[in-house]
Amino acid sequence: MSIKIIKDKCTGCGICYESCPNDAIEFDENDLPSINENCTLCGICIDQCIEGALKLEKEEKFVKVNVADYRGVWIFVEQNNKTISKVVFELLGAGKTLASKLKVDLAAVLVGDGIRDLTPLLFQYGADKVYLVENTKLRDYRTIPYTNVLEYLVDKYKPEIILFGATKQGRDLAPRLATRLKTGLTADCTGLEIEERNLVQIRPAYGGNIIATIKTQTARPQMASVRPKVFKMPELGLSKDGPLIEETIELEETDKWTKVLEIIREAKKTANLEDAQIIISGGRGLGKPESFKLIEHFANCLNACVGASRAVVDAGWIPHYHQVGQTGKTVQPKVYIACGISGAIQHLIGMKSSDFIIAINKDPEAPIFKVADIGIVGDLFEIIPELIKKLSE
Amino acid sequence: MKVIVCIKQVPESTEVKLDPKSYTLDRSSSKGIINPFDVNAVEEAMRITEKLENVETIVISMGPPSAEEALKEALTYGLNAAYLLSDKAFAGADTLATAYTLAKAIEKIGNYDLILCGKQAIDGDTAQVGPGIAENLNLTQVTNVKKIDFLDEKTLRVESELEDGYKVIEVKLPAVLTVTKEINIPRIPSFKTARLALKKPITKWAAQDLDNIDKSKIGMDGSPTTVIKVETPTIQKNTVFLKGTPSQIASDLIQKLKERYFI
Amino acid sequence: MDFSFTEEQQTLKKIVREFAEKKLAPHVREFEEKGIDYDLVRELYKLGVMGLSLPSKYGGGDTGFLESIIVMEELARICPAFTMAANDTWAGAVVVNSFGKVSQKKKYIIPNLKGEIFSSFATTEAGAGSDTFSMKTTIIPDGDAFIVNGSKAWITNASVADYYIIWGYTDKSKRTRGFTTAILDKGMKGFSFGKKEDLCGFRASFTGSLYFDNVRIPAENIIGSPGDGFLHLMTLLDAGRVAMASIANGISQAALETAITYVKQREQFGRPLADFQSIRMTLADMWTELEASKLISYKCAYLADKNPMDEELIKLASSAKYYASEVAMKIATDALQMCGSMGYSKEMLLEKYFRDAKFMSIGEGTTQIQKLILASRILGSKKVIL
Repeated sequence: MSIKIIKDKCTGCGICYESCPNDAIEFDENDLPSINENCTLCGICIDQCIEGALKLEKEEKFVKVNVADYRGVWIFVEQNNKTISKVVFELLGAGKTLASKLKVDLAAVLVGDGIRDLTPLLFQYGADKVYLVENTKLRDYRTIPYTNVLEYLVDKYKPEIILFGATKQGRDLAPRLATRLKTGLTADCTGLEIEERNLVQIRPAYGGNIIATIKTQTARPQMASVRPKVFKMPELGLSKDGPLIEETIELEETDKWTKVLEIIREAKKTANLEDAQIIISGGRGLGKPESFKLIEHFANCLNACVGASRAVVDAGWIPHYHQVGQTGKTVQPKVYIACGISGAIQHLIGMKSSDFIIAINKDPEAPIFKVADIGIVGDLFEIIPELIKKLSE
Repeated sequence: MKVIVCIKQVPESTEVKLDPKSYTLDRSSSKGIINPFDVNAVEEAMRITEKLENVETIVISMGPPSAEEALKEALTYGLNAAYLLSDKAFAGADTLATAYTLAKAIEKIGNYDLILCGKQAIDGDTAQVGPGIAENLNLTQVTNVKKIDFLDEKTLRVESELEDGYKVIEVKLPAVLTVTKEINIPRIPSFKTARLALKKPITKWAAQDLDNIDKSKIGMDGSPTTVIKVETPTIQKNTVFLKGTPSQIASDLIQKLKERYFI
Repeated sequence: MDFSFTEEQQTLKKIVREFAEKKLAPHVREFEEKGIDYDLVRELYKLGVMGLSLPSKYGGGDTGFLESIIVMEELARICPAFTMAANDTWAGAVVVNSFGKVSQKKKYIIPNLKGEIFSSFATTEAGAGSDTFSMKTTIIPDGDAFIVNGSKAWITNASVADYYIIWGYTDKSKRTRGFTTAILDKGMKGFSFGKKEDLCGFRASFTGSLYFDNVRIPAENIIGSPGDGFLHLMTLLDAGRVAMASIANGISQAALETAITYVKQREQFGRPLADFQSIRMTLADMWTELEASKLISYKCAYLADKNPMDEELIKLASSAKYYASEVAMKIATDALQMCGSMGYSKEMLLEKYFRDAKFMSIGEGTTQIQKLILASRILGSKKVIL
């Protein structure tokens, strides 16, 4: 398990040394490279080398289960207060494709209390069968009881793939379960494929600057959490029925389970940027905090959410939950309008996956224009009022 | 009370592919920093020492030898002690192996009440190690924590973010909490505290120092997931620049948004 | 000869930089318009980065002089006016520490280093700039007290500071031996202030006049004895010169960094400005001059820590001050030029660096005076010939 240099192919260009984020590659006076102990096997150098002079040498040592025993694609059905999260349907769509390729069933796993009536919807969206576990103690999601239930089901029915929505709940549950099952989990996938009965998981890392392709070769089940709004909602099928496999599981509540005291849903006012379809963000180009009123007015015309760059949040012009960027929120709206934002890397990381990006900035050299679909070089204090005027007509 | 904070050293800028027009890697921008969410965890640990009596704070990190810099920086916030887990045998670990290793070290430190982690690392972006540690140690876990209040020495009232709000949870210690940026604004360390911190030794542990460690569960051997390849996507945008008077530009833009059914 | 910063010094640099970038940078333009928010100066005290070279018994850090240079360079890189004002708030403590009695030190230094009171340092008068000793302020004994009459001009932190270190004549006939150092407290009867000066640069800090109209000060407000003032002032001037050099170097640093970022991005004639030889030649000059300027100031710190009365230090401090000032003006000008119209506009901060840089060759001893002081020492004489 190390990265090896193929000396015959190395031309001493140094691009691996330049791109290593850990200072793990050194070149001597004769331009011969070597890898030191700082190497974390991230693989960026392998990708950067145009001569193909670097490769990862590994032996697959993680062999814990008999892979052939595991069959079936499962979708964990996240539901809150008896409403199924939208991502579940997207997963049923994606899962169907995977299940067909593997020639296995697609199952939905429904856990909770008083949620039986949700099963027809799962069949309508493509599930071949549904596993159901109901218990009053499962009414509110809590990590440990849900993990216990899923562990029981997995041990009994042995799926080869389990998909979760990469939601807050999904990313709380999946890693706990994966650790319990001692199996591989890939977070926040944006692509899923099948290759020789293996699940190929594609996901961003380094804030989206890298796309990694990952496999769980010999551990089972292969678990993945999937980013919402990446896979399409499947067509709603005709009223369908199918096998409903119900399990009754004894659950003994302990202190470790935690107690949910209250659930507070916040009014729309608190910008839920991560779900917004249209975001209008303001940066230092606004000049002063009062200018955010202009952005708010513009946002109201389009029913949009207001975002901000880190600079103005740090300056106290607008609260942190509006911040878009590496240490703020990562957003994927349909439309992102950046006003008076220069486009520092840390900001771009948070918004460059937006479908359509518009930038308004006085400086034609502002980096934001590199990721913009539409660029407006001009004074936002002249342009935005015009937009507001025309949108209000 | 003993609070353990887990931190990770990550590259300052996760921008690893360079714009072909710029000039060589700006090495100063690829230096290591403490993962920003972990800084919130460190800050929260310090705030706990300010709220309660007799709180011992420990920071721990698994990484290459260079991770010592991150631990030194963490100590400047005022934490009591630091541990570095570094060994070639730990390299290549995915989140399962990393969580196992950290859990073993935490076990060795022992007698802990609260373990704090940042919600996720800005390079891996998995958010899996915190829950992994909790499972290994068989502890209560709450993720996405944006507020911690002590009801008494053993009971916390914690707010955990939801997509559209938050939930209020009662947690009995010991527990693992992963925190978000909402929880606090980290202080800038005072130079007085920093000077004292620089004199503190950092305890270094290799695999052999961790009692009862199962070598098949660490490093690459203990990692069920394998990275097959890594690519750097390039964004090719053909930016269309709108020209004219503000009025013309505004009309033009609205037209384009309508054409694409955005409005 | 170890040219590297110690781990502690590197940590200090990092802490001050973080403060400057996160807490000071967002307010730069606002401070230019409305003046400094002194609460931000108080935060610097809480951060423990002020008064580092003073004894820890009074709240200082027992460090050498280099630490103060590091703090000033990092702050000035973001806002030179803030830096000068902040530094001045404890300059008085330096005077009291060097020459005062323990009772004075406890009275002034301890609260000063907690950020509870601020100082100001006043020598210049409307009629006495470069010609310091032509000043007209008098500090005349009257029974067991002293009466102060006169005025001071172009004083940083005027009206904001709580205590003011001033110089005046107790006995003009004794010339430099009749020169006295005194502390004036804000609120003393007869002690008033002029309005804020409207300057080209350094607009954020409060610069104004002090007026003394028969101000009665107790004997315990005299530092040392009457007649000691000349020695005090001569010793302190070196520290002030190196401080100014550090501020100038901060300005240069900021201007240079801004220019580098800009020329990499800006394209004309199909390629980045950075590709053009004339830009590259100038960048090489800018970088080298700044590096040389910083090194002179660091050596001053080294000499000051060994022996503040060192003859070498007197020469080098003047050198540091005027060289850093000239370099700052040159770098700010070149940087602005590279950034063209954009550099000339208020969209960027270069025009501010340009205006601020100009002050460096004027305040705290003009370039001309520094050169004359240096030249006379080079020629082996202590007497400055104009």
